[in-house]
Amino acid sequence: MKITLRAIFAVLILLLLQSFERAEAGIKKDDIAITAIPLQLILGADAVVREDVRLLEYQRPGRARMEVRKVITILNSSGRDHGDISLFYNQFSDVSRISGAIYDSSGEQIRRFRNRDAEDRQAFDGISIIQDSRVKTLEMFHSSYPYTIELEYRVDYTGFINLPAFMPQSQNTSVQYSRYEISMPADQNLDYKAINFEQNDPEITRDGNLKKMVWEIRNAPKVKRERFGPAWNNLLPYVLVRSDDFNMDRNTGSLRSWEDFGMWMHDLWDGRNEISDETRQEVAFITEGYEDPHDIIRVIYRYIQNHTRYVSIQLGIGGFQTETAEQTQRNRYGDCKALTNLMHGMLTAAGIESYPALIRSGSRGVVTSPDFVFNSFNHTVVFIPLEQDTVWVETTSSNFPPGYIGSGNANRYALVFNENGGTLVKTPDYKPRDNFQLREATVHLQADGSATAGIQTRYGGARHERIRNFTRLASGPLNRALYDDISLSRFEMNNHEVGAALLEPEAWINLDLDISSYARSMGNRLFFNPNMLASNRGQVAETQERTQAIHQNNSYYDVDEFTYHIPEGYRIETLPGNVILDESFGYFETEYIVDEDSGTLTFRRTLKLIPEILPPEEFGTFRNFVNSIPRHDSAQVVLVKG
Amino acid sequence: MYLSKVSLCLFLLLFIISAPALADRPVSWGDVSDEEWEMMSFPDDDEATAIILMDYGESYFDNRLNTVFRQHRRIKILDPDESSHTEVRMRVYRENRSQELRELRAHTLNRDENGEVHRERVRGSEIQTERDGEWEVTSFAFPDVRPGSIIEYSFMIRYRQSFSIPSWWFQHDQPIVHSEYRVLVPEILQYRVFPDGFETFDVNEAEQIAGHAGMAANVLNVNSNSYYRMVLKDAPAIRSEPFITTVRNYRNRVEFQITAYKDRRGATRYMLRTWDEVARSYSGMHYFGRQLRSNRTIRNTVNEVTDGLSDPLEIAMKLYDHVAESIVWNNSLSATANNHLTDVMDENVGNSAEKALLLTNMLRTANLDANPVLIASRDFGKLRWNYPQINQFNHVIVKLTIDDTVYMLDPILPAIPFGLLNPRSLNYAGFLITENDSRMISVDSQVASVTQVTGIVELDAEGNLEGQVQLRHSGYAGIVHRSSIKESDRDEYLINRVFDGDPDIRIVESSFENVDNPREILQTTLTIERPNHAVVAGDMMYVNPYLLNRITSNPFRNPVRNFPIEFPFGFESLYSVTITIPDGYEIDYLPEQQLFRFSDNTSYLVQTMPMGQMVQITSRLIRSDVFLEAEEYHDLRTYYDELVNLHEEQIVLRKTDESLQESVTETGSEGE
Repeated sequence: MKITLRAIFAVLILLLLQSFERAEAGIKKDDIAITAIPLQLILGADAVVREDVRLLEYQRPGRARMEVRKVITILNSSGRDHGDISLFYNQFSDVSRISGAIYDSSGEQIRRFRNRDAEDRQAFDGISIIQDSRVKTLEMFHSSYPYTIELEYRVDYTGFINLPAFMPQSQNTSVQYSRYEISMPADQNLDYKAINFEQNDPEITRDGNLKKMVWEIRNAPKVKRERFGPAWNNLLPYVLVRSDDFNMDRNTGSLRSWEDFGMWMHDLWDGRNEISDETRQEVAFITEGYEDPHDIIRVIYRYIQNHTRYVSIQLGIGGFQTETAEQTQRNRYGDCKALTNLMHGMLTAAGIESYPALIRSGSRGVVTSPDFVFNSFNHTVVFIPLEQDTVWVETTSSNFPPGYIGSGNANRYALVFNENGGTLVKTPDYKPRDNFQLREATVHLQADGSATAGIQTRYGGARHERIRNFTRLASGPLNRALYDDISLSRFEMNNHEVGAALLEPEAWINLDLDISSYARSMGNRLFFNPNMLASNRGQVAETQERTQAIHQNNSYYDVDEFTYHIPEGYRIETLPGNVILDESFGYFETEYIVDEDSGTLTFRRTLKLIPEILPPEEFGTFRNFVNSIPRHDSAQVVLVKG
Repeated sequence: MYLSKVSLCLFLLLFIISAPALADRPVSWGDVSDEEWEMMSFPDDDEATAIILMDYGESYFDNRLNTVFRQHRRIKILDPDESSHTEVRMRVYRENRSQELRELRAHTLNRDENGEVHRERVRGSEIQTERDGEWEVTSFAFPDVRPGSIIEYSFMIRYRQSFSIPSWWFQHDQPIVHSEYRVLVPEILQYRVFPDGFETFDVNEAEQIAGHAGMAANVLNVNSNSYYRMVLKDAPAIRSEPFITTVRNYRNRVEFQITAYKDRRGATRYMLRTWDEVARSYSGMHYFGRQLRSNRTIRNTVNEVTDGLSDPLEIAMKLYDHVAESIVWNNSLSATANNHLTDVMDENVGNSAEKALLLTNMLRTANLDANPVLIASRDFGKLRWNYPQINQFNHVIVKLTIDDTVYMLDPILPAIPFGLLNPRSLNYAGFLITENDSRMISVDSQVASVTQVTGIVELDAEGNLEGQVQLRHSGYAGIVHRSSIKESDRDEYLINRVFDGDPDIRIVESSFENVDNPREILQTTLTIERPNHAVVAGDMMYVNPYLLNRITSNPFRNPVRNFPIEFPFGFESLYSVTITIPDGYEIDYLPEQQLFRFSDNTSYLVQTMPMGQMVQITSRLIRSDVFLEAEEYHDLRTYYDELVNLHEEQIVLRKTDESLQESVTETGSEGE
């Protein structure tokens, strides 16, 4: 074909039409201008999402393409981060066709951005030594507020489990219009769960052999969060979506049930827990003579804690497939998957039935629930079902006792998987009595206000994790840690002892202190606060009308018992009254017991906090409880000569 | 004749080869001595989680004048879980292939009971290399690490024709048995060497030699090279403590800076030998001095921003606010710009130097006397002035002079108002760059953290207190409190921050002034109530005169201290309260007036003045000392102990005789 002038002309026309099309799709100045925003969306917000449209074309498992278009008006400097664009991707996704613009408050375009303006970086999380997450970044800032940014880009997915979630609103942001549109072949099925949305179900339409699902939000003002209110997860609207079948790195799986998803995990890990002969011998050696499975678990766990270390690695089929047990043994390091897998392999060799389990660790992210199959896991642990009980093991901890899973893994569903697929099993819930801090002390007060104190404190559950770490410290850092930990001033530590139990989640600190000035001497009186070390501070302010539920999330049980030996020649003049505060979410009691014969005053303080969600009407009760405690904690005892 | 020449050459050759400067490298790959295997602790250091057995570095130039840097490290791991040395992450600058990392190898060695050494190599597939913007990151983890394992790695980095010789640290967060750095510099280049630190080097040599085995010396057929060798043995670990600037100030190191090179004709060209030359170099630099030239965009912006203003100080403040607020700081501290200032203004993003240079440019455009000052941030290390070293700067601030008053400006963040420096920039000194008078100047906070409290309150016979309190925060106190106010509910800020979580204080009314004007004093006016403030016991009443700002604990609890104590700025707290005591009571005891001194600059003064039914207590707490030697720590700790004590003093009131009689009469009448 000859390249004629006509051909060139035709091409030019085509190009012109394309750019004309683009201009048509562009925004009109008046629409962008700040005057086009309803007032209620501006009040109290740092930014307004004018338009957030995501068109997801779901072709088949493991293949999808999403076109994103966002227009956000940034109202003040607190909303500036909306202009700090980070588009993450990895080996199973790619971000391309990035384009953007900045408009001033009247809607006049000021700057344009093209794909090549984006910087391509490693998305280093600060911990993982090996990982393949990358990010494309763009800085869209302007000198005067308000201004509007417009951003468009495309994401191509070549492997995924869940579909992208729809999260139209973030903190301090209002939404003018947001839309998530998924188009898929009519024979495909997607399951979804809308949270904090007015209607759960999308609008579904058919168009030939395509099916469309659409969720929309219009004119949503910013979401407020009251102090002690629900977590942002439970306030902001979002939609989770997943397909029945998924494909990740040529591995296909099903999300129709937890059983199915577990089966996929099992297939991915199958055969990888084979340990070498050398390790097999090692297992036989260390477990020799032990019959009770608890003992066998204990020695194998100790072996792994002593012989391997935790290294964060986020690679391999999106971070799902484990390293082989042999390789982990050889490396003597591994991430949570590798260490879990190694322990599983060693337990199997020792004749103990165990399974790996996926879990969402920590307090953020989507909670795993039986009613909606969805991948939000970020961690693995070991599940060991014995005849009498079950034992969970957190393999990444170098010093936890066996069976203690840590507060970050407690009270949630984990997905245990084996050759039969996956099952959700709840991890242990640590009650307040499990998270204890029990203290006993004897204090000899002197007439000049000084005192010597012998203090023994025992910690359990979530309270003990920190103290267990003290036992690893050398004497220099341990001294420093203890000095920083004790809230008294003007004391010297004569003796200290720190320890942690081998088999229980318990630890203790024993101290001998010389306090140069504890009681205050005024004339012929001595004043002191018998509550030497406990300190719950922080007041909750009054609010006019509370609308949100109150989340009391603390769970612990503290008892302090101090026995004071009154100095010679003094008697007790004033004692604070005994106090009891008893609510469904907490219990507080102070008690004073005088023993004339031994010349002692025993002060006993109990504080128990029970996790509970209270209705907003009970805010007054809650507030009173929280605010009273510091008052009672600082009550004074008055001694007088004579 | 010929024979003797040959023999002379041979003789010389032998002499050179056997010269003491050409000693073998102190370490060879995988060759671990028995002592190294047996070493499981380091004297006087029970905190060490690893011991660096050998840290050996070499720098030399290849025949293209690229700098070749090699490092070989051998580390004994004592605690695999706690040591960060078991993972390695290195970055090189890849833009224009400026730096390349090559020849990386690593392995872990373990010795069993029989004395056999087992080796586990780090395989290539286990080393990850990724691009990160203009950098390239290489990372890997050592396998098979147990307590007592020895890990070893070595690598080479080639610096493309940059004439930079990498600096070398001899001390780290773990103890070191042997740290050695050798540098070979061809004749055509000259460097000045800057050793620094408190430990005396075991070897510190500089000599002229022909070449060194392994280190290429055939540059332009030159026979003479400068050879430097420095060794530090058995160096203790240097670890951080609270209230210091940075450990970098305490670790031994050496730096090299180029001072001359020979051009093609053999003439020597000098550079950066004096501070003057450094100043001239910065002034002529494209990404520094040249950016200070006025241009139309900047002129237009200046005119726009300062439209209608004529007072120079007002103009300066307006320009400062403009740069601080409208250009977003990209979190990069830098001594030089990376982009043209016009691009910075277009994109509204800039590094710290770009912001400072832009402000300087704008101030000059407005005909104000402004000059840039090169500084090192506090965490970057103290500046050394003996020799002109340019690598020690990482930030720029601005010196503005209006009618003999000097203002130091640091436009990084809008939270820092005009005239205050970001605490990070307070590092004692800086290098002022001017037309003809560049010099070192001191950079310190002229401003402290100042809080002033005045209160007028009343006590009733039951010990309840009520009244008015006014707080004025200025300087750094203003910045800190403004930030707290913005982060939370105002009532909670008042109770938790101002009254330190006091459970009994009630805020009846509150008003704030100048929360959004960081240049003005932040003023808070409160009406408060505090039921049961005074303790009533029999005929006595005990009153704590300090409603807030009490020193309740000693920040220096730890008995041990190694380093000097450093604060970025001074602190001043003035407190004055007038208490009206209830009828029927009189003053029995007042805290003593006293001046309690730590030093001339740090002291506590308390005065009490009875005035009939009222008593006034005034206290002034000042800490202007910003640098104290470690030897003074014990005294400082005792001083704060005493401050806690003084803040526990109470005013004691006693029922007057008349009122005692009255109550007796009352009791009598009640009995009827």
